[in-house]
Amino acid sequence: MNIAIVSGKGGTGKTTLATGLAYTINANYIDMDAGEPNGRHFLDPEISKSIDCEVMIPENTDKCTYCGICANKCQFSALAVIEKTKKFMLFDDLCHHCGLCVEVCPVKDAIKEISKSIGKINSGIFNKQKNINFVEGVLKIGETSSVPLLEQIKSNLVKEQLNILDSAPGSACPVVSVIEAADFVVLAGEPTPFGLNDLEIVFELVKAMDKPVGLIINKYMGNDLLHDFSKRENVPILGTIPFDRSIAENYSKSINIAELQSKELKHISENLLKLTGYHYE
Amino acid sequence: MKTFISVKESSLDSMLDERFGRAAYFIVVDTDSGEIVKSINNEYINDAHGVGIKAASIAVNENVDSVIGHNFGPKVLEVLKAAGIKMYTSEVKTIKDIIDDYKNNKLSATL
Ligand code: SF4
Ligand code: SF4
Repeated sequence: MNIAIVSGKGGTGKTTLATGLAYTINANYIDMDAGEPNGRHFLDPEISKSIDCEVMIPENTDKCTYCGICANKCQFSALAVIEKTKKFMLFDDLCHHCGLCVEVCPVKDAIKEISKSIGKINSGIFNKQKNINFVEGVLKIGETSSVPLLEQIKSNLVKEQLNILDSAPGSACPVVSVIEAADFVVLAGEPTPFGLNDLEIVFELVKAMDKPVGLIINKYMGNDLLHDFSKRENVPILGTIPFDRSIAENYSKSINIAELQSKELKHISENLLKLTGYHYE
Repeated sequence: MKTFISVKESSLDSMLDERFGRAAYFIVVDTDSGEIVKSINNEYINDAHGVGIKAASIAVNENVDSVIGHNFGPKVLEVLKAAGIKMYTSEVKTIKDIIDDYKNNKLSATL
């Protein structure tokens, strides 16, 4: 069972809640915010394995005639070919590794695919007694798309176990990739106008992908913004965490929220498990 | 000499389009006669990414000697440089005025 934590807006407490929940219910923690993975600071994992995530990018050979057909066909404008000066230019931040350029090249052996590492997938455990898995995707600096990395992480998830997927903020491709793998989606909401705005955007995505969903109201300050959203959209509230300066102070010291708000986290976990129908020991 | 310009409309009275890759049209102008020799509809105008590369590639395929725009992104610079095409930047003005500036060496060349 995969439970994804998303928020739309950044800084609403996704990682705080995801690591807190994983810690509370002994669920595997999967950091899929590969652009800036930081869950490790709250779970103190022991990493035992680190593998490269590789994608295929095109490269021309000396057989290339610089006809430019590959560049014309590329749907992502990742290639420019200049016949006059014999240049084959790949803008690899735009390449989606689809292989079309290789397919359409009319000249035998003029273009081939070579592999390129875009980042690493680190795995290990964060709770030795219980053998709870920790996995994180780490995108290389300068790389723009974490999706191939996330897809590789997803292909190795054990469905029979409880996995908490910590998503990137926003509602773009990496978030779609995480929601796609989810059996249940938790919205980590911040009750501010900005928080609500971005939450509604990612909620549209969750609805379009037809996933069951629940809401945690974080940094609650007594206003009704997210309670109204919950009523309006019929999204159950799993729990509420008050706005409290000490939580932020402890966050800055890498202290897991479950150590501070254990009652609230337990309450949220119970609601979550009830809704998902997952049973654990 | 042939020069390639990003424009809002396909006419010499049109203004320069300041967004090179997202211009509505590109025109190829013969700088000696001052006439438009070709007008190209920018079919990539609404693409999410890579519009600069596409626009630069069109200029390359038109075999022009130079390109005039308001400014150029790093990818456009890279492609045009690799093709040995000169780049000039201009304030947003009518194409007629820009061609005059070109003839009088008043445009700034991009290295
Ligand atoms: S289609 Fe093949 S031959 Fe033509 S430019 Fe591309 S790689 Fe070279
Ligand atoms: S692999 Fe696909 S996206 Fe990448 S350059 Fe080739 S055609 Fe374009």
